[in-house]
Amino acid sequence: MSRRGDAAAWLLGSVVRLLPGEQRDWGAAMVAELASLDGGRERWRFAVECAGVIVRRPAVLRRAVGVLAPVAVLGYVWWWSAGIGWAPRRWGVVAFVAVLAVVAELGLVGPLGPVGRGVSARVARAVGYLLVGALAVESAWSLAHKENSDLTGVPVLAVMLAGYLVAVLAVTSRRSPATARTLAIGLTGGLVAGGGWTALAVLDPPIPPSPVLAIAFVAMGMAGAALLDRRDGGAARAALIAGTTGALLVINVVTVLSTFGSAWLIPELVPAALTPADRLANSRIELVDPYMWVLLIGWFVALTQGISGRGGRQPLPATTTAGSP
Amino acid sequence: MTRTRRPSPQTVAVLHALAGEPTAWRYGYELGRQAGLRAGSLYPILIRLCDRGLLEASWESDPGAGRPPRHLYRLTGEGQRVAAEAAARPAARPATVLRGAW
Repeated sequence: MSRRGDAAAWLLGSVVRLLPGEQRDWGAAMVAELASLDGGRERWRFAVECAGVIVRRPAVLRRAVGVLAPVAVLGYVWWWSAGIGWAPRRWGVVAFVAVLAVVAELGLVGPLGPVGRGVSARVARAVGYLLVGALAVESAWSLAHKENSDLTGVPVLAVMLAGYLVAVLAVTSRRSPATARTLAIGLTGGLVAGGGWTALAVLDPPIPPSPVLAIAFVAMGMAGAALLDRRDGGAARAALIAGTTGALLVINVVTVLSTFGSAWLIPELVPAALTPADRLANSRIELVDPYMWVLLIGWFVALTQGISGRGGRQPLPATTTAGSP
Repeated sequence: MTRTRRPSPQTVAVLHALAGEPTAWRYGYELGRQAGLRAGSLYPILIRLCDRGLLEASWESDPGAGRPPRHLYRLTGEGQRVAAEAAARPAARPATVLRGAW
């Protein structure tokens, strides 16, 4: 019996897509059962009840929250950006967040998702979200409060942060060839590298005005991760994860410390002719610029990581029904 | 240690319906009608029984033309044992003692 234009089947078919892969068989079972029913009222009742069963599944609820979160963030930014006086700037900020929200969705329901099983993938993805999210908040805030008409930062930062996010999502997705060990080693390497540089900058102030030391720390983190994971053939991937994580951590630390750090952390980067307060304020702004090299180099590492994260993609295992023969 | 909870009346009804013909594969809708349950109650029970290994599921091998294959269900050996146990138990007091099926 043809079901073209069958609203009950459309409803149930749409809701079934919310089920995670391993439970998709149950949705297919409901759809097939619906297809065997006649009688509009009975079909509708069956479809609505089955849809109710599906949307109350804990896995579906978790998935729905995840899918709606980027939309909610975008909605909030839309509302918040209404206070930006110049319309092109407002829509630039909204577009910047929209790009990241789309990439985040791809990591939930698109080709970069879902997150891999196991603690390592979840932790690596959470850390990635945190680091990219913090930079995105700082970037959106900075873009929204600029006072000139230069909007070039919008596409540049959108492409940069989207690249990092793609890298994180690709390598932590269920179909990524990265093993739990590789993820753990790469993540640890990056955090140790970024943390080591941070410790040095704070314990031996001020923050270096040159990014060379930070780049060296990240490179050491990459080398360390590669050495630790060389036996399992994951050396290159572990190194890339360490590089991406380390670069993101360094940039986050620089942006946070340059904005909120004590005066003794900020190197003098402007002419002495200014008042001390102006020197400090301008030095805070100038400090971040050289570290854009870290962001850029890390972005190339992230791109490589994103490509390698998809390189060995395997199809998701066929869905099976528990207890099936 | 896993605590075995007394099955709900709805679950017992499904087990009873399946135990009536333990070797036969049954359709979900037909099973729901026999157990007096609507889809909203039936499928959570079927999913849970499958998750616990009490029910096995298979796909219809020869669906009608233009129709997707339907799911078929029957009790596993363990399911038959639990169904027999549930049938042998005295009827429990309703509601206050028994948990819902979901």
